[in-house]
Amino acid sequence: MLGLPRQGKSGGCKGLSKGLQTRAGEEVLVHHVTIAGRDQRTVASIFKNTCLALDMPPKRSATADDMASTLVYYLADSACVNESREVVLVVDEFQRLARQQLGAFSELYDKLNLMGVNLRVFFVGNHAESMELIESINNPSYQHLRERFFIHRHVFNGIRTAEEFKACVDQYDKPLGEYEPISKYVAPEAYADGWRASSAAETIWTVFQEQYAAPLKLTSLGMQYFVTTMLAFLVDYLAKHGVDTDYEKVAIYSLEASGIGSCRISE
Amino acid sequence: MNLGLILQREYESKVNVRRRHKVAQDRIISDPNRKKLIASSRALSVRQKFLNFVEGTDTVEGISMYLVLRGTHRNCPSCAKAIYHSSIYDCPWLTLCPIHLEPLSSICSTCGSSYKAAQPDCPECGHEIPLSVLSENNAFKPFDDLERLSTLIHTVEEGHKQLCVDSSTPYDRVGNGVCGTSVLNYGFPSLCADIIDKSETTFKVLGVHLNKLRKVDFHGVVEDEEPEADWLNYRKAPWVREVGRTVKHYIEEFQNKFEDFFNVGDPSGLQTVRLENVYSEALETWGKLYRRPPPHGGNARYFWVDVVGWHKPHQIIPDYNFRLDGKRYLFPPELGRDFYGLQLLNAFKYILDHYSLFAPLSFGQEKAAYFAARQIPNLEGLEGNQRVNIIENCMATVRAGKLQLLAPDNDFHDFPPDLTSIPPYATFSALKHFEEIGMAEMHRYVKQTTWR
Repeated sequence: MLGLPRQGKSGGCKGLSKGLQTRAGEEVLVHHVTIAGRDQRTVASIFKNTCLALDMPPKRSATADDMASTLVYYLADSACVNESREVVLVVDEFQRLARQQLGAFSELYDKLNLMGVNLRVFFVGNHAESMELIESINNPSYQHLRERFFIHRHVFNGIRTAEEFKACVDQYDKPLGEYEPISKYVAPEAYADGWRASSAAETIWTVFQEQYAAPLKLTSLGMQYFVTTMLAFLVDYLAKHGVDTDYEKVAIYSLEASGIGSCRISE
Repeated sequence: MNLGLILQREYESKVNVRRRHKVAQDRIISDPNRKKLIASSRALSVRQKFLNFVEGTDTVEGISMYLVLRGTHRNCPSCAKAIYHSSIYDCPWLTLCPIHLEPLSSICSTCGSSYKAAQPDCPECGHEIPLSVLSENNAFKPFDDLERLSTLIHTVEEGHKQLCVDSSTPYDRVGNGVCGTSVLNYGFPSLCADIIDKSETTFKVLGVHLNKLRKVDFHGVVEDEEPEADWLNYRKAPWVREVGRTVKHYIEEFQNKFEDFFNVGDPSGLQTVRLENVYSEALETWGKLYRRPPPHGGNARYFWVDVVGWHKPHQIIPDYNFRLDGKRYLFPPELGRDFYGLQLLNAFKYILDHYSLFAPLSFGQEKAAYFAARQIPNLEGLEGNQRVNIIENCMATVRAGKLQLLAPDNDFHDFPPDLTSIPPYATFSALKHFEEIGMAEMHRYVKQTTWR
């Protein structure tokens, strides 16, 4: 899964992973590993990284084999929650991997395959930074990697249209589980009178398009900027100044507060 | 903590659970949960295993706990390589693995050590095994055919229920009112086959030798006034009747004399020595007994009591022939069926001479507390640990046959006898008593029996 930074790839993966099921409706456990950048980019460091992420801190003397063995049995245990023995590993910050480090996942895959366990690995990374690694494994000598991983590729985008933007803003008008809608919390009286946060969606989107998207050549609005903008818009401004305030002015302040102005990356 | 769930299979024993934990657990990982593993090992300490067994909370799977205590652990090579073991494999009468039909052994066929003292890196009995080897040994695949094992376990469990399997120690058995035979007995399949339909086929497929049972014919009616005490219906056999009367007399005398003792912790009284227990003890020294509803239906109040022996003398009568001092006792193979008859008669004699005269063989904590309380009037006022210590000391003293030191009056000065000085109830001393019992009585008894 590739995409621009701060678009919500990691959060999206975590959100989706909670309800993952097999075709038979059984739960599939998902484990997340965030790759840390290191001077020495070895297979052992990946195993160590993964062990730490899975709350199994290895001893200093632990070898790559030891860690691999423990990880294999850990993932195999996780796969036993469903009959089809599926387990998912999400590897975030994929661009930090060196080509040879992919061998770590290949080893896990092979060993689990021996056990009859199907390990699905989802690599999540920043598009531009990952391309170098992806292109390098297009070499025929890395065919074994391409057959195990990188079978499907998905480009993750932020908010690209006014409709998508409005759909996201609509969530602020809906109750979140047992909690009341944020817009009701921000402006209870106005909410009772029929005001909704989504009424400001078009204005904010227009401001974004004119003030930021065009000058900065942004094709989408990342989820981090969206969330920060909406929090500033609703909680910092509307809650204090009321819902009758100038949306456009507040939208400018809110977008600026989100830090999107520092974003200079374009596709 | 890795649990090795990928290696988990149906009907696996607790011993196997610990082994797969070890296989999946890499010792080099500094797992904070290792403490849990250690704690779980502690939970399976010998003492705990023993307590579980004595408490009777274990099912067939729990038998392995008892066998661990006894040092017996058998497995089939193919199962062992596939990281599998079922408690049923430890039953001494089972010789073939129900899954692979390979001989069961307590010795690893690969490294030659016993399964209990496994070599860590042995692919058959150890736990440091490479994945590739485990894969070659089909450790990650389900067994093709578990039907034989499943059928066998269900048969044994059914037999376990119907035979009123005794999970207590012989030492306590008289006191707590249970009797029966154990799954671990060589005779268990024979009894199972006799009472459970189709189980004979199950056993025969696995090459289990089924002995013909010998029945002593003194079945009868359970009487209303003493439904429990008379279920052996000893009144039907004159020689048993005589013994019964005498035993009852002794027990009543004993009860009258030590009224307090019988009432401790048991409002109904007569908890400790019960006629049926006395008889079952005696009968078990000769063979095995069980009760069952009469064939062809009939009145549920009728019970058949079968005393069973075997055509061929067997060398070991497991579990029952503990000496009172705790040592195991083996029967020599050359003694034949008549010896069992002798044992039976001798057992009655022994009971008359020693057993019912003096003390129950069971002495529980409640009674110890009672005597402790009599010895130390303010026992209730003491703190928990002090009180427990005093009670435990009392129990130890009682078991050592020195209760009279604690007794406040002379009523107890002969109580209980020094148990270690009394010969066990089924011993070679049967031969010594042969003349006392009388050859004529013996022959008469043997003629009464019928072969099935």
